[in-house]
Amino acid sequence: MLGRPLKVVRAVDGVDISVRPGSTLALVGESGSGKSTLGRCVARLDTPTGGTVHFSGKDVLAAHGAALGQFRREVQTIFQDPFSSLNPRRTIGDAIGDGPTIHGLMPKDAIRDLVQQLLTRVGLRPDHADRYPHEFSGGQRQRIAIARALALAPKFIIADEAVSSLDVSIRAQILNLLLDIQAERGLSFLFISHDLGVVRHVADDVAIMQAGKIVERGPVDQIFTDPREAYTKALLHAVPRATLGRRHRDGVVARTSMSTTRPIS
Amino acid sequence: MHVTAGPWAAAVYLTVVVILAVFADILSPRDPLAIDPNNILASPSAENLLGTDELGRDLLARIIHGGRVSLEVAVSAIVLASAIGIPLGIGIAFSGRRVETFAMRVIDVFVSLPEIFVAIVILGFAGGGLTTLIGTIGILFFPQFARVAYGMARSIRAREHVLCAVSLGAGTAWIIRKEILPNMMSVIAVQASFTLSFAMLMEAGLSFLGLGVPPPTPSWGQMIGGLKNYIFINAWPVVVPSVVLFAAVLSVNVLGDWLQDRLNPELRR
Repeated sequence: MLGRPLKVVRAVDGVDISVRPGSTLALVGESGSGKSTLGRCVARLDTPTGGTVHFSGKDVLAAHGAALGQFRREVQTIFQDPFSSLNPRRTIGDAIGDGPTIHGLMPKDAIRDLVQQLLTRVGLRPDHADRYPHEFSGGQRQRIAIARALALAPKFIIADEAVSSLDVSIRAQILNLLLDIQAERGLSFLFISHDLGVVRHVADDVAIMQAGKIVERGPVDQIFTDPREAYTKALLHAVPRATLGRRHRDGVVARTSMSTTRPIS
Repeated sequence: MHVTAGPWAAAVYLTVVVILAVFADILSPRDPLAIDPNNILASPSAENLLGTDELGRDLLARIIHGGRVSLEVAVSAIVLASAIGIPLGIGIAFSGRRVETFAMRVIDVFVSLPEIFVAIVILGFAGGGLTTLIGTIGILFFPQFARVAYGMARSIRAREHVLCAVSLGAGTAWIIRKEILPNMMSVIAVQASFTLSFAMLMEAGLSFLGLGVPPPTPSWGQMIGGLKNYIFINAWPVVVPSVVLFAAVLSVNVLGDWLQDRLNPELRR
């Protein structure tokens, strides 16, 4: 955490990425490009056949026992589907308190207090703790997932398509919540997404993935304004652009037109 | 919640049967073992509401006491089968791929055994009786529980909330207890309700063949087995335990179907 690269990965196919402390690296690619697999390897939810993952200078893949326990506390994952990422048979209070309970960090009362604080922090009510996941909407569930990830006070969060399944309006709220929390706590993010609009909004650095390889990486501004690789250009070109045309003749109409130009080859 | 007449009737019937069986000693109008040589194979009368059997014993009393045996055997066997099958199935789902393939083939072999035949062989050697009967039926049905538990555990394990628990640092024991088991209980409950009716039929069948609880203790199957010989003298006595058994098995199945629809609507056929 002292200015060194937080983490270096070689996974999927000779991929090499690193996330600077307190920054957000966005991993962008089409579905099937291997970005989720890479994310899971980083979180040690999948084991790569070769390569290394370093977190705070320690080898993650070799960790076991207490070292692995510490890694699990410091690195959290937020998944794409807020409907399957919460156990339907457990209250959200239990779910959010799982981390501290599993690691035996604090007594029950303290966990209850923490759960209520976290619920408030992510924009829900403390009394929601006793409800079950099916009582919440997708956006609310993603807030719960965020609270759950925060319960262990992690240093690094992997968000795997964390806002992809949400409505556009909700998406912005959740993204802003993530950014606020990042700023508050100095978190590092690995943000896995196929949505370049979202990426531009949250990322400091971007890595473009195609078929298991990183084809281009760089600071977000450079990637969006001056892409070097043909694939990156194609990807950027495929982003739907919204243009607002105003007609004041009737004093009413604000017209929106969207266009997608050529598909990615 | 809308419940149709079928499940209601089934629930009422089973409740009555269970209450009678549990409190048989208090509720039974007569001694089920008292012999009356002057009043054998009788049709219903004020004296014997459901008639008498070939030794003049009161059929209502024997049905009530027999229900106790039938239910005790069936329920204990299911408890035994799930106590072996569920941990085994989950254990297999969490073992390595090699163990998994091998163990599931072994389970398949067990499932493919002809149940009544195996039961006859086991009971033929071990002799009838309450414990051997429970043990045999339990062993015959545990592979089905193992298979269901295995399948459920595997599918639940692939869900993101399990991955999420791993990411939080949960160990296997935690995941099984908090994530897997609660989510498979509804499917297990349905499986248990269907297997229960099979177990009741199996108990009846084995008792019918004389491999169940030894006389004079009554059980429904054993009563049918004994009374069938007198069907041409008076058909009434054999009809009584047959109808009682039929209705009990039907009720369990109807309730099982209802449970299935309630708990796992996605499995509705």
